[in-house]
Amino acid sequence: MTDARKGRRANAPAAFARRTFVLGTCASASALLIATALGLPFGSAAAFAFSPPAGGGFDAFVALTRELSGRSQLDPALGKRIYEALVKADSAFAQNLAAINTWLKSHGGVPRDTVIAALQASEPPLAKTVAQIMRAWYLGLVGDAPTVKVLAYERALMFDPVKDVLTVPSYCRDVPFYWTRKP
Amino acid sequence: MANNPSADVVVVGSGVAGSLVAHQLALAGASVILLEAGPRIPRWQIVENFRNSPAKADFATPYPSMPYAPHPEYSPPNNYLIQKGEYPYESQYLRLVGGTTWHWAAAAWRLLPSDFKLKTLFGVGRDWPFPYETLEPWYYAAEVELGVSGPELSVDLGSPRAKPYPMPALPLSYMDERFAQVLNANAFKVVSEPVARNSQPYDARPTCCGNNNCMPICPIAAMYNGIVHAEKAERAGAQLVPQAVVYRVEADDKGLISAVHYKDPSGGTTRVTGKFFVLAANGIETPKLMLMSTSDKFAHGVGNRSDQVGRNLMDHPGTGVSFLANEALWPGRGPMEMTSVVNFRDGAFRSDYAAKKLHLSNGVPTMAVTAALLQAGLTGAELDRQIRDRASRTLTINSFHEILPEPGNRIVPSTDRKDGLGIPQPEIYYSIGEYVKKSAAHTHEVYAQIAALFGGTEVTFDDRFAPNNHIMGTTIMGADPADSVVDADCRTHDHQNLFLATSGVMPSAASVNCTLTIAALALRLADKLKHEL
Repeated sequence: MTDARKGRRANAPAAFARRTFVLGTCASASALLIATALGLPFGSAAAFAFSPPAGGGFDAFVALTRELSGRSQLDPALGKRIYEALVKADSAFAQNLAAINTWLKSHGGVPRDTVIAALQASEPPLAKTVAQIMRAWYLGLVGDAPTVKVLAYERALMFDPVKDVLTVPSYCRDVPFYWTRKP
Repeated sequence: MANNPSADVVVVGSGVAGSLVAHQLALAGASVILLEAGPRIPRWQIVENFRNSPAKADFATPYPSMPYAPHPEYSPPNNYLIQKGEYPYESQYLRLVGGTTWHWAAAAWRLLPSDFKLKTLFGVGRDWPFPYETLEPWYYAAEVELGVSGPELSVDLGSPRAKPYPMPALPLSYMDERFAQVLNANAFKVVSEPVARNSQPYDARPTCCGNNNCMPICPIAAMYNGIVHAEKAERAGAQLVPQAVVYRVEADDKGLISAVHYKDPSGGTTRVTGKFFVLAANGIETPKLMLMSTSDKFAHGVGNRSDQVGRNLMDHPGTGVSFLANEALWPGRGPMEMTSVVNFRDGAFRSDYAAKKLHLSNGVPTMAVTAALLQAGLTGAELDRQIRDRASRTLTINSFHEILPEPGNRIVPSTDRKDGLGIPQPEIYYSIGEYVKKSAAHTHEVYAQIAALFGGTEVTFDDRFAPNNHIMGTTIMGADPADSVVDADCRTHDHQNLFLATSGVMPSAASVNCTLTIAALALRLADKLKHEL
């Protein structure tokens, strides 16, 4: 019995999720445009003031997440849970975290939108760690099948950019029939 | 449960069909025992299970398969259905009190009059043993029981009706309104889908407030689930026994059914006797149980003189498309599905290729969009910007194609693979022929046309045939006992006191969800039984 997010075999991603994206170049191009529009020298918009604590501790994790998510405020309780889960899931996590922060400090010119692509070329394990951090915050998931842990749902960051328009499925965001209005 | 339980009517399966029958007969004063293989899980627990599921796109994950009553799982696969055919039949169904309508889009379509006489009109498939008009009052009774909201009488859905829907249609989302407007101006026919979802308080359940979680679980019961009638049946006096896995139907030498036997989760067995028996365990478990129930007198299983039990397996093979529209339409506001394209449901082409229905998804796309962007390696502010942009413009359309009943498409009990209680697992042989493939090629063109109407970019076709979990045909209805399993009343040709309440009886799959037809047939069957008690 299905429809909507529907009908696809359970483990088959929806059609639009299976597309191959080529985003690296256009993402950096748009970051360049934004930086230019703000009248900032390219690279300085995101890079200045990034001075994370040394090492791979929780504070270093928070500093990196702010940088990667473009947010100054993050849920500290959720941050703690995610950090602990990532440390537990990957014995090299703390070490990689410290290395990413060091790398970012010395690569101030890399737009924060393209960190993974840039790391992929020189430091593939660090690119993987960044991807794990993003997945944890945005989708609320840590670990690989069959032991994926769900650390967040309604507070997962994916819902943030659309929170004024779309509900978090299973929650009611407004009165019945609100959906007839043009968003 | 007493040591020798017995009732006027014994029903196997507590989904929408079995529960409707149990409820009707309990109201009529009969003693009723309703046996359910799976556990009882409260709604709040299912909602929690969903929120804690790591595979939220798999609508079965909030409903864990039990070792004593397994159902198919795909995330990760439990290989409960054993695929032996040319094409995998990776259907889902649920085994728990209330059945599979715990997760559905609540689409409550009637078949078209022509769907009842495919053979006569188009020379393909089979005819039903009665016309649409026979079922019309029962369709209405089902719409009242389930609580269906739908368009007003002036909107022609192709299935004539004597009375208006019990509730007015839910007002469309902005996206669905735009979709209908654009397509209807271009020779398509888009209509509001009739749905078992409240547009006003109905039957002590609230109005839909757009939780957008019809699948896998409506948190507020604004959408109908079979649990409604399972609980009504209990309140009317039926005795519901969860975790009672029926593994044998016992027939006497005269051909009457004398008992069913079930196992509890620890393997203990109980024999339940009765006057009438109704099997309502979906289109896979029902024929499996009948085929397992062999005896000297019925060496090929109960009700199987025609050798049609388990054959003619059907579904609605689906294809899909998604694209980015050139305007922000914002799918995801309201219930998960509201409109359908219905102009390919009927026509002379059905002698050549399959009828179909297309439907626009109104599911919140946030999670799938984000997962794809993360996969592509996006971070930073650009990630948020693209989540918003793509969530506002991603349209997804899916389809149901009609498949014809073919005896070679079938389910049989496995001879070597058994579940936790030692009961055979279902083994499936399935293939999809030219009748469907030819229609799907046309659907692909239609998708491209629709995408173009919205200036679609990144148009992504999904041409694989996806299962839609509408399990039909496996205990097929017909006038001739030589080539069908049940008669027009859903009574088995071979056993006077054995009835089947399942979409397994449907002789044609048509192009719409089968639940309302199951419910109408179940109510008609219950009425028949009331007069025989």
